[in-house]
Amino acid sequence: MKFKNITATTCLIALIASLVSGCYEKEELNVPVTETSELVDEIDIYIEENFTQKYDMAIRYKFVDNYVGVDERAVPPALENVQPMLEFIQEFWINPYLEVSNGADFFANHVPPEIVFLGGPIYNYDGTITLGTADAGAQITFTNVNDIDREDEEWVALQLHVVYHEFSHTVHQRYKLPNAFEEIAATGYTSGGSWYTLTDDEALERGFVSPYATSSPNEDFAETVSFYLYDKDFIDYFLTDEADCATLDCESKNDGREKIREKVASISEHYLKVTGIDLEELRNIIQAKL
Amino acid sequence: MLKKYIFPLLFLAFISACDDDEPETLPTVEERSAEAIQALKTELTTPDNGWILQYQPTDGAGFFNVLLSFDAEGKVNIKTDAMFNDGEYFDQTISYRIDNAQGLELILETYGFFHYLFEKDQSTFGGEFEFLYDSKDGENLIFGSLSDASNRTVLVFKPATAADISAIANSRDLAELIEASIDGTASSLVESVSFQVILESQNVSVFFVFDFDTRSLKVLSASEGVTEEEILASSNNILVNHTTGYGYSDGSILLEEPVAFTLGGQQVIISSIALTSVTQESVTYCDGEEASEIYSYKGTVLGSGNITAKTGLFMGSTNFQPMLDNPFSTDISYFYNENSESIGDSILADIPDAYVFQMYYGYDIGDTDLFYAMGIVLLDADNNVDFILREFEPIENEGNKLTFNFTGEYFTTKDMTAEEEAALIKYTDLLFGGTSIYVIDLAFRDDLFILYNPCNKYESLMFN
Repeated sequence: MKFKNITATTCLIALIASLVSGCYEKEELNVPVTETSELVDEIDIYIEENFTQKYDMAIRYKFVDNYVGVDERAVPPALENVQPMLEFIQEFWINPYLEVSNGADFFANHVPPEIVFLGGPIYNYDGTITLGTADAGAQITFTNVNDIDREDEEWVALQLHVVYHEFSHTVHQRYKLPNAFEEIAATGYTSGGSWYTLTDDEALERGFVSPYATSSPNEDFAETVSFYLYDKDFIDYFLTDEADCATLDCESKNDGREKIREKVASISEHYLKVTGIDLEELRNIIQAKL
Repeated sequence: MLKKYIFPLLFLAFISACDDDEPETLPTVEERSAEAIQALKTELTTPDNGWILQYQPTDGAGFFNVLLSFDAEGKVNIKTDAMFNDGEYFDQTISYRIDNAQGLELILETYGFFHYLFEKDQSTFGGEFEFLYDSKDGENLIFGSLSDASNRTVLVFKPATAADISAIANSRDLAELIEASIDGTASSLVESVSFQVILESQNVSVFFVFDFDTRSLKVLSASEGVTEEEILASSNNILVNHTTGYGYSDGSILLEEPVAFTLGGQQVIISSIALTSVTQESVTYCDGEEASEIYSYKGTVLGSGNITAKTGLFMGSTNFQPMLDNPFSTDISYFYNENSESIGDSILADIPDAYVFQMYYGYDIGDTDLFYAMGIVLLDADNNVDFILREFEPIENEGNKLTFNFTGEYFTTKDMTAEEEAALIKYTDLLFGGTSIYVIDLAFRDDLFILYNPCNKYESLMFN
């Protein structure tokens, strides 16, 4: 009896609900939170023609909250910096891939669908800042766009470091890491979240190009690719042993360089095998532009 | 019996409710959302002269006059009286969007005036560029900050008149007039500017410190007299320490909280300062050194008549006073040379274990005499702490000018090496020796001072 009462009541509520809602065609709860409008701005048309249609890549420069986390704060770029930033990424990120053998197909097939520009860094609530992020190959975020200055080596290094790092993640995400890559400097990886206690020298002694590279084999892979591509001193500093070592520190760094040489060889072989791209050729193209 | 008929009746109702001939149906959620967005957009784009806003980003800051003109294509022209980046935000057009998420939200999508304030102080200052529409109050639109976690900033958009447009232009002129004085400050460490405001009819000097970026000011002190000599000779000197926000209105600097005090029996009240003209003058702070340029303004203060407001290093008093309980201290990287470059690395090269700098200024060590010494705290690789301090004689302030006379005595907790002693002498002489050092109080902090050596332009930040 009780069951019947409940059933009848439920039916009544459902029926009334359907009365109220049944007349609204295409009613959906996931209402878009932003307006859409036809492209009228030159910059939006430029993006549509040169990035969205060509590479199926959306460029987001107008601020939306969810580009950063709830505990993070950021600002959009100034309108006048968007076009120069687009030209920068075209020249230093996209074009090298288009120019390197087998690079055009690779780029087309692996390009992240969304690129976000932020005017400054991402300010975290703990007082730190974040310079560049990516989201599982789906989105790459460029920070500090308002500081754009091609003559500023630090700014250029930041942007190239971020984009080559994040883009390289797509390789191990699709094709896994090179065989036994994580064994090359197996004891050098740091435990969760402690990488930032290392200095650059300590990371090198462990066989890593940066402290962040010690945080996991995936980050090690991405950092090594990134440094290899953009750092003009990479071969001299990370691959070439210091001569006439007379100190323990010097010997430790040379031991680290031996591991980095092994990693670069392993990564280069892997890239060639799974993507058809010769990393050395790509590096040379990039370095010629810098 | 009723139950028997209720379901057929409801079924009929369901069928009839969906009849296409129904004269009115409720709009969809999307339609209602779009209507609400369009309604707000229509409101925003309606006033011919746009909207005028007196924007106070956070408590303690002053206000900025902002004129917003929205168009239907998603662009907003923003005119302000803010001098940031040499007037970059006086007049610019950026894009805006109205969302419907937590309510109707007005988002300023590309960088401009509001974003500059949002980013200030590592994004802790309290600015905002996303606003939640609250209500319409008469002709005004009320918005609240979307990014303030507490004490949410309220923004009142008022329909602007032609008079508002010319008023904001006047405020901009005033901002340019007074904020040009930043070039007349000797210190390059902070963008505070010190002014001596001379109330001519009362023979009173009131010392202000302005922070143009936050539109806040401190009335530091007041003294009888006009010249430095008169002020130092007078016994009528008081610390006022009145802090307030300010803004530009009707051609005047308008104090949000007027300052009032009595000096030598005279009541002084300042609620606004009007400036009319400016000239540049040369002053010499150190004999034999080239003269510095200062800015001298003419103007009026309501109730006090004509004034002269001059930038300069001299102030009638300072909050940098002897501290019985603690030394002043600073990181060694906060010492700067004449090019505003930190000399911290040089100090470390000469004193490898240098950790922090301390100044014991009238410190009570339980002895009959107070302790006066300054120097370096050392921290070695084994975390051992030692002190190498150089004694100086008790100081008698001349306004904000301090003269450090070193005695030749040292206080150390270890055997100071000859190299350490030489370096200690070298750096304390460079920063504090040989002349009177000017203490610069700041508008927005009571615990931080700049000590400026006018002869070699070395300076340091000092914390209490």
